[in-house]
Amino acid sequence: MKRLISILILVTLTVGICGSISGTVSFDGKGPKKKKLKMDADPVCGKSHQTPVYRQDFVMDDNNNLANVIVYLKNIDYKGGVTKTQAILDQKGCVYTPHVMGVMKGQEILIKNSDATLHNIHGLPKVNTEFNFAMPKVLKEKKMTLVKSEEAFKVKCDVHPWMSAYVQVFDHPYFAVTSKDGSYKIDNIPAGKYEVVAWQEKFKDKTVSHQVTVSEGNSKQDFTFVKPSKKK
Amino acid sequence: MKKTIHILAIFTMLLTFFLIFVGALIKSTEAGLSVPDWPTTFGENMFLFPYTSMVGGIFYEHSHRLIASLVGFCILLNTILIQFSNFYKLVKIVSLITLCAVITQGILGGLTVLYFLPAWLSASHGTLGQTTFCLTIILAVTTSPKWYKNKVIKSNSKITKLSFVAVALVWTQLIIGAIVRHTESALVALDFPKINDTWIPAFDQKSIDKINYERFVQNFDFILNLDPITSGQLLIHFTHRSFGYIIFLFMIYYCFNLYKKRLFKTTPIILFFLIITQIALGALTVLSKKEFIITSLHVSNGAAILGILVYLCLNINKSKLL
Repeated sequence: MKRLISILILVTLTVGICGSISGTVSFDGKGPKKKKLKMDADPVCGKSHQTPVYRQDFVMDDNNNLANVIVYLKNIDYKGGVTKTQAILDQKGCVYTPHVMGVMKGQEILIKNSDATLHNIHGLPKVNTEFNFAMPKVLKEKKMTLVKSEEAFKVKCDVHPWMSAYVQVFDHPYFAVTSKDGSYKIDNIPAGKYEVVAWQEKFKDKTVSHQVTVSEGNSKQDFTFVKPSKKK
Repeated sequence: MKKTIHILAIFTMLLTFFLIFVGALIKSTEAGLSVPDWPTTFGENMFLFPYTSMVGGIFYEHSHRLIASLVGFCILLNTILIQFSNFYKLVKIVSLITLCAVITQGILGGLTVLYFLPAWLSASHGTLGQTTFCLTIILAVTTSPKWYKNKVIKSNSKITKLSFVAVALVWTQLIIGAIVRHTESALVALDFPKINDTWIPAFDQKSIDKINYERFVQNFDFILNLDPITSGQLLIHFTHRSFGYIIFLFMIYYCFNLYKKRLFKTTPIILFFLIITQIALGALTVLSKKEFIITSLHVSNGAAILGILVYLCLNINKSKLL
């Protein structure tokens, strides 16, 4: 009996233990050259930036840390509810902000048009239904949800061909996108062993993954993407 | 009235050719869905959409819709005028077919937008556009008073057969070309004349995986993100190139026969020049990684070749038609 009670207490404590994973995502090698985006096709876009806007598919700081990398736990059996927080995708200065985002399936996505010009929002998912709707100047907000979990897919504007974003849909809340300095943090992860994956836009299906054991406190896990070489 | 009909027919033919080029620009600039609704434009009547809002991809897509509307109107007007004229019954029938074709083309164009550009629908829209152009050529030729006055060309059965085969070959190649474009098969190889460094590619998965890795490495530094290819896309691309070479060899034979028989003065020479240009444009499309003007010229030059072949076929077979 005493043994049974001890086991029950141990299980209860373990179930209640949550931790976090944090780290930095970096790049090993010489990155692609920074290339300016040409926004001549729409005068409103060109005028909205005082400084040049660069390609967003590969953003690396001086320390080779990568921004816009999605880091997430794989194969999680999550039984909690969908977050009530809105995910916001803004069209501002004729670029998408954020360039890369993760959402939960069923989470409300608020798409904003902060520009004085028209856009179309064209999503190219393979699992969810493809969508394309107009956002003229007067339509400043539109809400939508994605109902199925899915690998990162592209969202683009066919009016402004340089505009693109990537959205990944999860059936759990354990994901993060690296910031400018390549750092990320995923909180409130139940204790256990997990496969943690990093996805970067240029590498696409060539993700980097590690096994991480989460317990109380923070577990550190860095990721490194390596420049592909000609010899496989 | 016949003169008016003929002038209108020529204008319609030229406008339709221009429309094919503008239509090609849409795919070349990936602007096909920049106007998400149809037949309205961003919720407004398409004829009242302000010019100042025609920015970016909308400029190409909406211009295409406006020009297409004008082509449709011209064909409708010409069809009505022809029905009330004393042209041959065949001309009246062709004008009705042209009208049906352009109406169908308009509906197909709308459906491609509403259904997010499925490959088969977009390729059908491209093919029917070229076919409608051929019909406008037939009308332009058969409404010309000169066509009835000029002597019938004395061709033999060999030339007659060649004229039909030529049209069939190029029309087939245009269909394959439309499939290449709308299945994203144009850049499965970035070299020319070889295909990924081979003359005849392998289609097994191991070879495809190797190509995809090489593409990934080769293009890592470029802003053009090339998607991985499939064996199906490679096959479509290879078919288009191979068929192009077959057509080239056939056209040498065809143009030589036309020239030898002195049936036409300069048309065979122009045709041959356009064929050489088409191969060059095809090569440049690949080597330039689908630069949008070059790619669009490749499409419209293909239409010009088909148009000339239809013209030749009409004249070679005039005795059967009159």
